Order: sequence, then structure tokens, then C-alpha cells
Amino acid sequence: MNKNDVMIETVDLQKYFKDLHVLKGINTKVTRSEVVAVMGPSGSGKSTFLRCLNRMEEPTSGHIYVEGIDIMAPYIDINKVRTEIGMVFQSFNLFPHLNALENIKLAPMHVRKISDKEATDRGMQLLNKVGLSDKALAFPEQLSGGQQQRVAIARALAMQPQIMFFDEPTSALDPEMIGEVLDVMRTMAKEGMTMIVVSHEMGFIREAADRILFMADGVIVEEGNPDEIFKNPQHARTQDFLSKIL
Amino acid sequence: MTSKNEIRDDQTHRFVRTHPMWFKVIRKPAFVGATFLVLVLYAFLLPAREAADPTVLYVSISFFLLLILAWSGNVLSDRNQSEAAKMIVALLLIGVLGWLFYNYSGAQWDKLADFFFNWEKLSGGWKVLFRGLGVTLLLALISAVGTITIGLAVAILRQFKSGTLNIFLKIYVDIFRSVPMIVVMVVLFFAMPYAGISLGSIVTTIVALSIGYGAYAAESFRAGIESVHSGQIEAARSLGLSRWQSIRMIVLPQAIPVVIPPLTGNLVAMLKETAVASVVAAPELLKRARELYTSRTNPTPLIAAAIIYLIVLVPLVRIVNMLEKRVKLR
Amino acid sequence: MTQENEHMPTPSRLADVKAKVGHIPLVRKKQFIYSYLAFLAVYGIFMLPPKGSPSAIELLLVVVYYALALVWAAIIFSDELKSDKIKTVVAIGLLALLGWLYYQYSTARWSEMTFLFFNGDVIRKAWPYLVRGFWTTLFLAIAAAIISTILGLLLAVFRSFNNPVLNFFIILYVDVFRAIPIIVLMMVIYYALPFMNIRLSAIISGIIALGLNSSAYVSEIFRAGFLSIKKGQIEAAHALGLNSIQTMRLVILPQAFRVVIPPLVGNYVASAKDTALASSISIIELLKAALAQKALLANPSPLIFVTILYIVMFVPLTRYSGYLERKMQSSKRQINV
Repeated sequence: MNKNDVMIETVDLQKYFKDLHVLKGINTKVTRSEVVAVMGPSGSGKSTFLRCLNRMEEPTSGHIYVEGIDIMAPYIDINKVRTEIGMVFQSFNLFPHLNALENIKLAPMHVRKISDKEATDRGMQLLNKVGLSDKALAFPEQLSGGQQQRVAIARALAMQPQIMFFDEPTSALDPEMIGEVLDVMRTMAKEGMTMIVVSHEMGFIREAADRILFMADGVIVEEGNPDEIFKNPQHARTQDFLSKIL
Repeated sequence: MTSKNEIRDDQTHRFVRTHPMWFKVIRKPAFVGATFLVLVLYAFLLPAREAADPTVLYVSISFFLLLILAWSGNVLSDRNQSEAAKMIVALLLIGVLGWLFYNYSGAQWDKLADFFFNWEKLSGGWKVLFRGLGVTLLLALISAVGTITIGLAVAILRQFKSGTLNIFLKIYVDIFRSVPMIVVMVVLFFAMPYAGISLGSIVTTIVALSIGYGAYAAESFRAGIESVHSGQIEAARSLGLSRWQSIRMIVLPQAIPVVIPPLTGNLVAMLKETAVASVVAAPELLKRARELYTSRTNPTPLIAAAIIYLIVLVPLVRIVNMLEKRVKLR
Repeated sequence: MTQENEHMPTPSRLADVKAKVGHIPLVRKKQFIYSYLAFLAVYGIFMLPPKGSPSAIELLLVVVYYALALVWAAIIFSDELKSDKIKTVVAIGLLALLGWLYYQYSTARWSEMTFLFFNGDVIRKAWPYLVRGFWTTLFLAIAAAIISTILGLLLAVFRSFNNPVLNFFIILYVDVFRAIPIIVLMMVIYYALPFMNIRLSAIISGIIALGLNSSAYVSEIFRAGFLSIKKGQIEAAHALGLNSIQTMRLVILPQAFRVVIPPLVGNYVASAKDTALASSISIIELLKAALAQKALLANPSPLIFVTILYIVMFVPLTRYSGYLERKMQSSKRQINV
């Protein structure tokens, strides 16, 4: 386990939805503790790219290596691979028939097979970390959007993943709740979690990201650190996009 | 620029929309009273049943019926009418309808007790009827297991997203939602023996009901499973849960509350349909009732059977209704 | 370099996944699948009993054989890497195998199958009676639909007056006629009422029973239609200056129509299917005609023919009514957005 471990590597990742060529050959690496932000106009394929990395979408061709393992290999135990990657969704996707703590305990108990007591302890710790220990027994419908998303983050963290994926985590939130979620994400970045974040939150990206991938029309148009991208975008497409956003 | 439908409200000077003139006229007490007297007169003038030519009789009664309904409808729909008056009109309406039926249906009312509620003649028959009821309920129970199994199996098979499989399943569901159940039972019982399959009447009934209502149950299960947001499965799989674990712990608990109202509806309809099994000689309630009717030339067993069906089914149908309403409110 | 060695490498939790990459489980290996298939072929050729009615042990052999074939097919189906085409072929093969096994071991007189079930001659002889039966079915369905609509509408209108007395009787009516099985109702009307001197012909009894049952559902459908008009609609129409007749014609009825038509069509289709029940009180509709001809000509072809006819008639109708219901759901959703 060293600082320069490559956690995720893609080689010529291609994805077709019927005739639509959504990903046209993505080549990239993500190293340990790196925070990579993926930006781009809608339809650029950024969400599809993220979802291919844990095979939530099946890539049409290309290679994806997670911790050195080719996850496109036949008969691979993809469920095991997914335990190492935590995913946070735009629409939270909390399980409505379970309360917050049960949401968090479910996967560790049934996949990692830890005991109820251990799962509860870990769950309460995580709820504490995201600032919601008093909402342990609340059901998702009783929580605000920001609270639900924080529980979702805790649920993903309960599996103690090596990498965290965020698919537009704040896009479905009312403005006043975005901050609490970004705070949690900032803390995780500071603690050295490897993160890939698809987002429009420029403030967060500028602050916390180590590297930015700018995607458009299914390819990575430009990449670099926040300084390079925001102050000195090289490609016309990047400049065009940024001029509209900033 | 006031049309004849508008008047200026003197106090607020705003336009108040009113009803057309004739609408106001028919509501006036004078009109209502006058038409009432006309109807009473009409009633006295109605020919006696035996006396008149049948066509004249039917026409005059139909016309009378129409007028009564229109008159009572007029009073009952009047928002300004008192509740007490409406109550009286309602009772009058029911009374007149009853009187019409009593007088003009040709029924010999003295024979009612003798033939329809002849409980003494029925004495030994009660046991037979209840045994028939037992068979009915048993058939329904076993068929219910079959129905739910088939329905669930079809719904789960659909989840495998195989194109060919889905076509076969669709064909199955389409066929058995379209063919009447009685045809299925008759074909299984009367035609299949020619192909070497000779099932007894009970097995035929169970197979027919299970396969037939399994198709409806499959649709109910499908509605339930589709009601679960796809994001739920995504979240479950992203945590590392297997396909089976996701279905068992995340999809099914959320789908089942949605499945229960329509599924209960399917099963109650299936229970009703057991009566059709009498056509293929299954010894259930209706068949027993018919046997008693034939052997004793008395319709009381049929009436008794009908009443038993009502006692069992009316509460069930109401429960199904309640369940379906509750889901709609969510 | 030295900094790297200061940290002891924690073994990755995916070590065993990594070790298994490229490793194919036994059950998925090509050799396994083909040798299993070969085994099934050998079993089929040498170990199955000869054609004819099997004894108990022989039957067991056959059942075990098909079970093994099912297991093999399950292995193929559960393999996510096998294409859909292969799975289709396997599925068709399974069905063909079932058909072949049935052909080998059932007591059916196979040479006579077509003669028995698809006998053109017999159907030609039965044809005029079947046609008459068809028109009777159509007549029953339409008559019942008309009666039930008129009755149902009347009931719904009087229900909308919200009068406790009327409500009691109307709810009683709806409960009774939704709960009682149609075949029971038909028999009561046709066999029991004559004892009270109410003698109705078979057809009239059938129409009345179908009409009464259907009217209970129709009244609930219209009632739902009435209730679906939101109060705000009437207020908005008045605010625009429409009088009550214009409001009814231009605002309320079009909306009520859209809510009422899909379930109403579904009800008519269901009622048309129920006409087959009239065969039990000797009405010569389609099913009864088929049964009579089958008995007369001692051949079940008319029955098979009529079953196919029912499928051909009602599959499109049921699909269409399902399509209408779905259209109503989606248009409702659009309004709420």
C-alpha cells in the first residue's frame, strides 16, 4: 500500500448505447488518495464513464483495471470488486423500508458478514462523522435531501472501500443543503480517500480536486490540476464551457 | 353587456352567473307539486297486469318509470332543497319501484315462501351444501398456491431480461387473459382425453384456475416489481450485494405492499370462478346445489347456495376494494 | 524509495479475486458443457425405454432424463456470457425434447391427432351452427353492454345525490352483483324464478344476469368519473363566464370521458368473455354450439377451433383495453408534473 498505487486504470474504454457512441476511448489513471473531478456539458458521457468503472454499465470494449485487476475478465466476482468501491448517487437511493442505521448496516452484515454489534458500532461512528448520530432511527422520508445524501455517504463508507465514486451528489439538492454534503466530501478528501467526483460544484472542485478531467462528446478533451484548467484552459471547447459556467 | 344568464349583483356590483331560465322553473315548488300530482294520476291509470295487451303494458310502465326517475332526480339534485324533503322523496322512489315490481313482474308471491325458503325440505341438504362449500374453499386454496407460484415465477423470469423468454411469457399471459376460464376448463376436461391426458374434474379445475389466474397474478407481480425504482437495485449492487440478495432484501420488501391489492383481487376473482367448475362435474357448492335442485324439484338449494356465495364473497370483495383505494391514496 | 519501504504493505482484500482472474469455474468450462451434452445424447439413445406406455421404473428413467436436461439448460441460462441466440436455441431444444418425450410415451393415438383436433371435414359440417353461435355471443355481449351502461349510469347519477336512503340500496345492489358469480346468477334466474311464475327465456335470463353483473361495475366506473372532476374545474369555468350547461359540455364531460372510457372498455371486454358462461343454461352461443357439435360428430375439433377463435377475438381486445388504461395513466402523470 503506497502513495503511488494505481487504483483505477482505463485503457481505450468504449461504450455504445445501441448506435450511440457515448464513450469514444477513455484512457486515464487514478492513483491512491487522488481526488479526480470529472466536468463537462451534459451528454459528454461523464456519468456513463463513472458507472463503467464498477460495471454498473457494461463497457462495450476496452480494459478497466481496479487495483490491478482486469474487471472485464470472464466470470470475475464483480460483487467482491464492488465492495472496494463506494458509490454515491444523484438521487441518494436510500432504502425506504429501512431506517438510516439499518441502511448503513445492511451491506456490511450481509456481504462482509460482520456481526450485528460490530455493524451497529461502525454505523453509529459513521453517522457521527457525517453529523447525523441523532437521526439513526429516522426513515429516509423523514430526512431532508442533504441529510439523506449524508446517510448515503455513510452507507457507502460502511463497507470501508478504497475508492469513492460520486455521481453528481449535489445536483438534486436545494441550495442551502449543498454545503453540508460538500463539507463531508472535503473531510474525506483531506483524510486521503481516493475519490472520483462528477459534479458542477466549481467551488468544491477548485478547492479539493487534485486533477480535473474535462470531458465532451465522449472523450477527455483536457486534463490538469485546477490551476491549469481554470486559469489557463488550452482547448477551445474547455474555454467555451468555462465561459458559460463561471 | 349582460347576457340573459347574468345579472348584476346590487351589493357588490359584480356579475353573478345564474342558471338558464328553464332550470329555475323546474325547481319551483309549484312545478314539482304539479308534476307529482300528474304522476299519481298516471299511477292510478296504469292498467292491471292481466287486463292489457303486453306491449301497451310495457310501454306505459317504461314511460312511467322514466317519469318517476326524472321527477325524483329533479328534486334530489336540487341543492337548495331540504334534506328532510329529499329523504321522503328517496323513500317514495324506493317504495314506488318496489310496488311496480310487486305488481307487474308476474310473480306469484304466495309461492315465495313455499319454493324459495322451504327450509324443511332442505333439511338433509344443508350437509351436502356445506360439504360442497368445503370443496369450493379447498379448490380455491390449492389453486391459490398454484396461481401465486406461477405468477411469481413468471415475474422473476421476466427479470432475466432474455428476449426469447419474454416473448414466450408474453404469449402465455396474453392467451390466458383472453380465453374465458370456462373454455379452458371445458377443453381440458372434454378434449384432452383424446390426446391421452385424462385428468379428473378436481385436477382439471385446479390446473385450469392456476394457469388461468397465474397469468393475471403475473401482471400484478409485474406492477409491483416495476414500482420499485431502478436506483434501488443500483445502490444495492454498488454496495456489493449479489443479484439474488438485492431482489430478496431490497426489491421484494418494497414490491410486496404494491402487489397485495391487485393480487388479492385476482384470488377473490378465482374463488368466484370455482362455481364454473360445476360445468366439469367438480363436486363444489354450485354442483351440489344443482343436484339437490334436480332431485327435489325445489329451487331452495339454489337460493341457499347463492346466499352462501354472497356471505363468503361480499366481505372479500369489499376488502379488495378497500385495499385498492388505500394504494391509490398514497 | 526508502519512504515506500517504511510502510508494510497491507494485503489487498481483492487478493483472491485477483488470483482467480482468468480462472474459469468447472461448470462453465467448454469441456464440461460438451461432455454433459454428450452424456445426455448417450442416455437418450441407449438408456431410454422404447416407445409405448412406460412402466413405473421406465417412467422414472424418463423423468430423471428430463430433469438432467433441465439442469444442463439451467447452466446455460445462468451464464451471463452466453449470447441470447444460444439461449433461444437451448430453450427451443428443451421444448422440442419435451414434445418428443411426450410423443414417445403417452397413450395418445398420434396417427389420429390431426384427424381428431384439426379435422377440416368436421369443422365444415359444424360451421353453420358455429356461425349461429357466434352471432348469439355477439348479441348477448351487445345487449348486456347496453343494459349495463344504462343501468350503471342511472345508479351512478342517483348515487351522486348522496342521499342516505338511496345510497344504502345502491351500495347493496353493487355489493351483491359484484360478489355473486355470474353462473350462479344465471341459474337462479333461469331455474329458480320459474317457480315463482317468472318465466324468462334462456336468452333473456342470460342477458339479464350479464347486464346486472356488469352494471354494478359500470356504476362504480361512472361514479369514479364523476368524482374525478375537481371542484376547481367548475370554479374556473364559472370564473371564465361559462354557464352551467356550457361548463358541463365543454369542461366536465370531456374530462370525465377520458377517465371513464378505458375502464369501461375493459368492462365490456370482460363481459363479452363472460357470455361463454351462458352455455350452462342452454343458450346456444359459441361455446355451447361447439360442445353440441363435438357430441354430435364425436370429434373435438369444433371445440379446438372455437378456443382458437376466442384467442383470436379477445387477444387484440384485451391488448387494446390495456393500451387505453396505460394511456390514461400516462396522461394523468403529465398533468401532475
